[in-house]
Amino acid sequence: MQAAAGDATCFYHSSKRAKAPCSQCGRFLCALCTVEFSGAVWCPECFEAGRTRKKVVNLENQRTLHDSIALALATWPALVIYPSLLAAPGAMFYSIYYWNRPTSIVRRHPKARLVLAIVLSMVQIGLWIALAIFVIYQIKKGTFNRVPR
Amino acid sequence: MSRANYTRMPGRFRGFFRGHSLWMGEDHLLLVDSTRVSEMYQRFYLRDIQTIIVRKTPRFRIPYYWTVLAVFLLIVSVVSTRPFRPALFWPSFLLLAAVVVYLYLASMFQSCTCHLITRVTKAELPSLFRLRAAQNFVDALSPRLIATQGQLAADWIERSATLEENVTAADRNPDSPVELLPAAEFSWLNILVFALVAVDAGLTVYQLRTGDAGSLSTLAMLNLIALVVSASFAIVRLTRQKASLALRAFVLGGLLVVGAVMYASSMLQSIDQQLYHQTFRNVLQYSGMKQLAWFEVGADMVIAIPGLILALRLKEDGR
Repeated sequence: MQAAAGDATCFYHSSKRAKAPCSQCGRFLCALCTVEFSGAVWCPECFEAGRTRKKVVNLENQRTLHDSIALALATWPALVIYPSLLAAPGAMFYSIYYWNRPTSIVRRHPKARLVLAIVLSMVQIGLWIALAIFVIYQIKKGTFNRVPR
Repeated sequence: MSRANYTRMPGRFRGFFRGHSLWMGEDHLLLVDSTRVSEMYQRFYLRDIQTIIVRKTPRFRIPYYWTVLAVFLLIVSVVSTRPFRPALFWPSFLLLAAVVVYLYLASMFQSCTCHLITRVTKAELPSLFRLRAAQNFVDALSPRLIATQGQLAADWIERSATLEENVTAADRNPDSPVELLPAAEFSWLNILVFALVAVDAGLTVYQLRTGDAGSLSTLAMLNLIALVVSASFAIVRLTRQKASLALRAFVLGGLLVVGAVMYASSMLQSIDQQLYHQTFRNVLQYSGMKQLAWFEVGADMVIAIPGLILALRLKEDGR
């Protein structure tokens, strides 16, 4: 609808009468520019920003599950033992690095897998350190130098 | 906000690499298609949902945990054969047989496809592939849909028939086929199934005549595998055709007879081996085995002859 003299006008169309303000930025919007979503009025710019910057959960259509990746890194290599020497610290680093990244929309305990990955990584790193200390101790003790009878 | 409030809806599929699940949000249904490392989301707002179609059909979708269980039981069965440990072999073998039979029956007779229709989209809900889960899903969703869209009037069918936009394709074009399922038609696959059942009877008669079950055991096993495969395909085909219930029942009967006889013969062997510590190279020497074999021959013929007649009648009818 065309704006009359004294009417509030749309931020994007100065000749159109404003219908509602954007619930995010407060800009006045005409009927053409209003996007009604999740019980609120959005301007096209805020709507696009919410989608691309993933600020509105109901606009997201994909997420990477960093917590599942960290947990996989902490478990699968451990099954074949030796790769865990590198994978366990990697899983620990990955878990801490992505700690604040959002995980699955539907998961009830979003940090549970990250915590589990960190705990498992710490156990594996602890075991490797214990093994290293044991080997060094045995070398110093001279166990490996003895000739078996 | 990184997380919304969602409650899980009935129905879930977890494969080795892909998974599907359905969640209920405040005002929408969320379909989650997940890999091990990422999730994709599809939303269906309650105000937009028009129809949910659940269609009973055979589907061989096996969640990964069933596969893992079956492989585990198979490994235990194989490992316990050398040296033969009956206490380990028979439980694992029978459990494996039960799992396979359950998965087969569930896939053939308790499976479905589920589609969700909105005004502009038609989407399959891949997490709903079993009838019971689909029914639970519909029961859980219906109150939410009614709360959002309102209750349909008692005469909604009569009223919708008067609205131009709701008139069906069949109403607009009277020449178009009204039935969703095509009529049953002749197929050589059905003939093959009943021929294989008859061959099974013939092989058994030959073994009984010669008194040596080992003479044609490889051929009998190949015949059995061919029968299971062709009967499965035939049942799937017949389920998707109209008015072929009798034929489908005969195909299923052939399959059940062969399966039941195999199971019974293994039980007879087990009883002799475990209770009387008797092991024979010739299977027919186990007690009750000859009677079972004659029963198999009779049951095979009862299935094969009427089945062949029914299957050939479709050809005569020109369908």
